[in-house]
Formats: sequence, C-alpha cells, structure tokens
Amino acid sequence: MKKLILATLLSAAVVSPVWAADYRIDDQGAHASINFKVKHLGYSWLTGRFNTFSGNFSYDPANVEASKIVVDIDTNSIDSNHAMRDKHLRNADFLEVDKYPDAKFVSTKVEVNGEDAMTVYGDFTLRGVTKNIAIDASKVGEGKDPWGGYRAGFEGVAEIDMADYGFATDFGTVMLELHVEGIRI
Amino acid sequence: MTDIRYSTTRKLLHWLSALAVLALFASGLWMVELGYYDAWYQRAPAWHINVGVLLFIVTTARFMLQRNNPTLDASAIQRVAARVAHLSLLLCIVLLTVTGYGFSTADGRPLLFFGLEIPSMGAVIAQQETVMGEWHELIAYATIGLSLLHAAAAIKHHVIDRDDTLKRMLIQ
Repeated sequence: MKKLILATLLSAAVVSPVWAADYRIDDQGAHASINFKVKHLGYSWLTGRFNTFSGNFSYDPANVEASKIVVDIDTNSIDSNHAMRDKHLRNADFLEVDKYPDAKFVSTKVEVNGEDAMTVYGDFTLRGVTKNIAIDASKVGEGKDPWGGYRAGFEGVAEIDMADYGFATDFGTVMLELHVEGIRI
Repeated sequence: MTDIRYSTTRKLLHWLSALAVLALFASGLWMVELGYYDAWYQRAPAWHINVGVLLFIVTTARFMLQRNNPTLDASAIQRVAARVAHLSLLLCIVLLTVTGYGFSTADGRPLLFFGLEIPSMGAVIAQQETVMGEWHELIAYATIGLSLLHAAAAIKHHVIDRDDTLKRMLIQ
C-alpha cells in the first residue's frame, strides 16, 4: 500500500514537474474588484461593482491551460454609488437578491492566446441561471510581495446579456471588468 | 356652554392632512410600480417627497396647536382611546418622515424639498435604503389602517351616538 502511494506521488511528480500554484484572491486587502458597466438610455455608461466576493485560482506559467478559477459573488453587495438605484438593482426587477443571494463563476477551460494573454471559459451563474461565458484575460504581473508572500494579478473583460439570465428589466449587454490579485497559499 | 368646535385653521389643516395622507399612500403604491421609462418615474417620487415634508411640517404645527383642546362629554375610556389613536397617527407620520428621509438619503445625497437641499445624515444602519424602505411601506399601511379606524369612529359618533364629534370638525 505504501509503495502504491509512493508510486502514485512519484508519477504525479513526473507528469507535472512544476506544481501549479494555488492562489487566494486578495479580497481582504481589496486588491481585486468585480466591476460592471451598462448603457444608460444608450447615451452613456453606468458603472458599478460588487463589493463582496471571494475566490481561488491556480496558475502555472509553464502550463497556463491547466489554470482554474472559482469566484463567489455576494449579489447583495452591488454598489453603483446611489443607494436608491442599488435598492432597485437588488429587487425583483434585477438581481432579486432575496432569492438569488449568490453569483458564481467556475472556469472550465483556459485557452492561451499569446504571452500572458488568455481566454478563460467557464460557467457563470446569475439569478440561478448558468451560462458559459468567455473572459478575455491577461496577466498583469507576478512576483514576491514586500511582506513575504507571492502574488499574481490578472485583468479581464467579459460580456453578458441580461436576457440570458432572466432579468425582468433588460438593458441589453452588461460588460464585466475584472481585476484579480491572488496571494499564493 | 363652551364652543367645542375647532378653529377654522385647525379644521383646514386637519382636512388638508387627510387629503395628503391619502394622496401620499396612493402615490406611493402607484409610483413603486412605474417602469424606468415612464415619464413619472422621476417626477412622482419628487412630488411624494415635497408633499410628505409639507405634511410633516403641518403635523408638527397641529401638534403645537392642540394644547388647549376643547373636549366633548365622553367617558374616560373613550377619551383615552381617542387620545391613543390620535397620538398613534401622529407617531406614524413622524416615523414615515424619518424612514422616508432615511432611505432616500442613505448614500449621503441631500433630500430635495421643492429644490431646497435638506442635508443627508448618511446611513446610520446597514442597508438603510432597503431596511427603512420596508419600514416606510409597513408604517404606511398602519397609517391607513389607523385612518380608517379614526374615520369609522367619527362616523359612529355621528350616526349611532348622534353627537357632535364629527360636526365640530366639519367646515360649515
């Protein structure tokens, strides 16, 4: 039995010589943000963000395709810098946070598009509806931080159509602008 | 015999307040259902606030005016019941003003009263815009319930007891 475990560990080590590092998104230090923008009347962009979320990702620069990311979003934390609008966005016309308090993104596939550029495909769940979306992402940088840790940061954009997620009010396409900094765990 | 009728000013303020309470309740029910592209979407809440603040001012004035309240011959229990009902209505209007002000100024923006900026006190509780919004709605229903009770009591005095309770408030 011990031999089997040893053999398994060894073969795993041979198959993936560099272990993919796991990172926790730094929501504690707020070095990450989930922003959105949507057209107002077709005349301008209204921007906002979700203040509360958490997530993890694994990233190995030598094997980017194997990267994975999971993010949980508290829909109640929507903030568009206007209390009455936020209240409206939380009600049944939009996010219906009583019924759907969480949104979630779970990556399914990562495609490399060039140096530090990638497309992250995954299942995005919002209002209880799960759809596959593509995040056009790139690595901003990685390295040691001054406090003894190791960090890697990414940015990405994605588009979702409100109609796909059963919003009672449909303002068309919502652009998601994502900034993620992870601390290696 | 003492004159138990109210002064014309107090009668006028009473009936204007009644009208305002009904208009505010109806407009409140109606305006929360308005679609974003409705022409009244911005205007209706602005007028609801204007009238609401006016009602608060008038209610405060009426509370000051009621010190030398002429009284009818009535049993002690009736007097206490009427007093409790009236004070509850007053409390409702105060609470409606506080919660209305609280939830519409939760993000620090001022309240606009006919264009005049009434400063915000910001948020004093978590999710104030949602929590106080819910209270505002509940208290509004309580206010209408109390108003109906108040009207039913006045009609009962007029029709069944055949006394001057309702008459002394009527403008003749």
